[in-house]
Amino acid sequence: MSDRPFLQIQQISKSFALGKARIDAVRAVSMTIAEGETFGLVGESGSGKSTLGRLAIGLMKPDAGSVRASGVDLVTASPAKLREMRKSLQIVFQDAQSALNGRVSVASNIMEPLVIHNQGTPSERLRRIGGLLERVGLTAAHGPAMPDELSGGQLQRVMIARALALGPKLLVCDEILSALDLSVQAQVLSLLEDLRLTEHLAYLFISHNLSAVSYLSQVIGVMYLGELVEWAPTKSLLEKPGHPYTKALFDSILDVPESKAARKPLTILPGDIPSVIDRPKGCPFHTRCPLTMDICRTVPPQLVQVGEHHHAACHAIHAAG
Amino acid sequence: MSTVLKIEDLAVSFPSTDKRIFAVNGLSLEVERGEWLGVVGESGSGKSVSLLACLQLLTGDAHIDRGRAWFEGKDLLRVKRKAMRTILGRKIGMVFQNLANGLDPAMRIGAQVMEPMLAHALCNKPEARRRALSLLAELGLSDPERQFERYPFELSGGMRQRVMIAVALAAEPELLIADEPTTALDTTVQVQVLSVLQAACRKRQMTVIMVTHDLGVATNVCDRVVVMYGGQVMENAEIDAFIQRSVHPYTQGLKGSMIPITGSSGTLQQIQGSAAIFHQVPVGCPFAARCPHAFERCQTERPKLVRLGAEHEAACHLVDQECANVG
Ligand SMILES: Nc1ncnc2c1ncn2[C@@H]1O[C@H](COP(=O)(O)OP(=O)(O)OP(=O)(O)O)[C@@H](O)[C@H]1O
Ligand SMILES: Nc1ncnc2c1ncn2[C@@H]1O[C@H](COP(=O)(O)OP(=O)(O)OP(=O)(O)O)[C@@H](O)[C@H]1O
Ligand code: SF4
Ligand code: SF4
Ligand SMILES: [Mg+2]
Ligand SMILES: [Mg+2]
Repeated sequence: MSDRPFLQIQQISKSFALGKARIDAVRAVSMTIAEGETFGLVGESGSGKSTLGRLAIGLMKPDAGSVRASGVDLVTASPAKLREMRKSLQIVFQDAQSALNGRVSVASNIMEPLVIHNQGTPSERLRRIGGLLERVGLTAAHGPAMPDELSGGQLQRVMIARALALGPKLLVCDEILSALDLSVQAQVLSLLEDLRLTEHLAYLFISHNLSAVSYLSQVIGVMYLGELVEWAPTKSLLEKPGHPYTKALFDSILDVPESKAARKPLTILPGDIPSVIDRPKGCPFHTRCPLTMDICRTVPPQLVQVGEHHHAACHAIHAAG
Repeated sequence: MSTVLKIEDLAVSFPSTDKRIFAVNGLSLEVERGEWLGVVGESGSGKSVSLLACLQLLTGDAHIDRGRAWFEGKDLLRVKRKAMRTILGRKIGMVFQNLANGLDPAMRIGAQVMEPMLAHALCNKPEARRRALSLLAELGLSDPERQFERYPFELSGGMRQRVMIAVALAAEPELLIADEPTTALDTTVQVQVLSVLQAACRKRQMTVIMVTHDLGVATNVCDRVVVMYGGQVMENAEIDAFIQRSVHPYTQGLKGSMIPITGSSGTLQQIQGSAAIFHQVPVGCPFAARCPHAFERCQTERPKLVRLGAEHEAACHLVDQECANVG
């Protein structure tokens, strides 16, 4: 694994109009993804993960801040340059069924990006596709099949094959496991890890599934109401979560206990997640945090380094450290 | 203990799809009074279809090929629609898988929670209002008075799920059938909702059937687990037996695919392939095509449930043979 940064995000923000109000989907987020590294992104529904994923590969422009891939600023890049960069920045979504064109074969679907970017002759493309299908654990025989003849897990593999067609450096995976069974999730995770090791691919892996994220990622980022509240190497985050929300999030995973008697009580965080429209002042987590102090209600905590490569935004840590 | 619901040899198919689908293929299970039963299995294993069939809630072209579903001395599959209306919501409460299906988007929250009490003439309106408010508070909905006047779209997913549970519990049913009640929720909210659901059901000594594909959820809240595949029971075990002594290759496959929270990659065990759709009634073991231990007999003969302990049974020829060898 190299530590060469591939993607550098600096203070990006993005808001959307919601009726007369504006909601801050992403607020002043900074982060780095190294070459060949998996950055896992977790957080509750609506916390801004998908928006950040789209901003990261230039599918959407931020209101402020910069996004650099291989040193090129995607925000100020010319359309031609951005198009060139897009080859190395790909995304796979949850809903493979609707992301694929159902009227043409699996092979044509995978070929589409090659055609759009004018890559290779038709016969070279065909050969490429055979290789890609095998790369994701399918066979050349799946090429002529129509998408509706494949299972959910196979479709997700086809999506990954299509995203790999242009030889990307970074793949954003947005909830690609959600629609898959446990057994098939395990198959897809193994494939992603294998691709990372052999092709030196980096991932921004967005998922509700905390186990999958911790299994796959070298670094994990935690979002809450549009902010990146903690960001650290996986081991450090699991062993010493700095932010109370991170702790609550990982405590809420229900593991299989050793016996009925050994069940842990269902840990509870009070209250529901605030609506993005009524964003709490100060720390966004103060309405549910067990450690809330006076300062938390008025002053937003800054993201600061709390350990080696470990960053968190919480007054309690700052006070303690 | 007495049996609340007893399903016998249920078979359900969908004839009019271009290839007939055999969704439930001889399912038998029972749930005892006060028990919390988990039903687990991959997508398409027939969990929802079999329970919906028992409640006469299957829509479209579903066909019940055979079976019985005994509840209070009546076979629910053969009860008249009108009689069914006095059972649904009153004796059996339901929380559905799909969040959107459960609540009426055009009706205020309060009215929806009061509705089962008024429809079944359990009390007058002011009393229904009082009970609804206290139920919502019990289920952890903050500021119930204010939420009472709101519409479902104004609530978060976790709040909506609390309201759906309130609707299901409003008429104090004996049996609650909850189909993936927390699947669509974020982890911290899932734990909150499970916790209030558990407390509310315990207090009322209710019997619960909970469908889930999450073994973490099942093993943390259920007293017993039934594992389904191909519309049949693969294994049925009291929770400690399920956790410590499950024997069925499919159960072991499901357990092996759980991703451990280790923070470091190791090899994941996987079940080969993905859950099958059955266009013919499975002749042998429905899991045979994916089972690493399958042998000849598995292709031709359907394994029967073999008793392995007081509260543990499994349907697998391998287990059957081992038992025969030992005994
Ligand atoms: N195109 C858009 N227009 C308006 N609002 C949007 C748009 N995209 C996202 N939002 C809002 O921005 C916020 C963040 O959304 P986002 O989809 O990034 O969250 P998420 O963390 O991916 O959630 P989930 O886990 O549910 O996918 C939400 O409140 C959402 O409603
Ligand atoms: N309306 C329908 N028409 C045709 N086939 C159906 C219909 N509803 C369900 N099926 C089929 O019946 C089988 C069992 O489906 P069921 O919904 O019971 O699965 P499940 O175990 O609840 O899965 P999930 O975990 O995805 O909810 C599947 O093969 C499904 O495709
Ligand atoms: S800043 Fe305060 S409210 Fe926010 S997480 Fe830290 S202690 Fe809790
Ligand atoms: S009966 Fe045969 S195919 Fe089925 S689970 Fe047992 S060994 Fe596997
Ligand atoms: Mg999203
Ligand atoms: Mg279902």
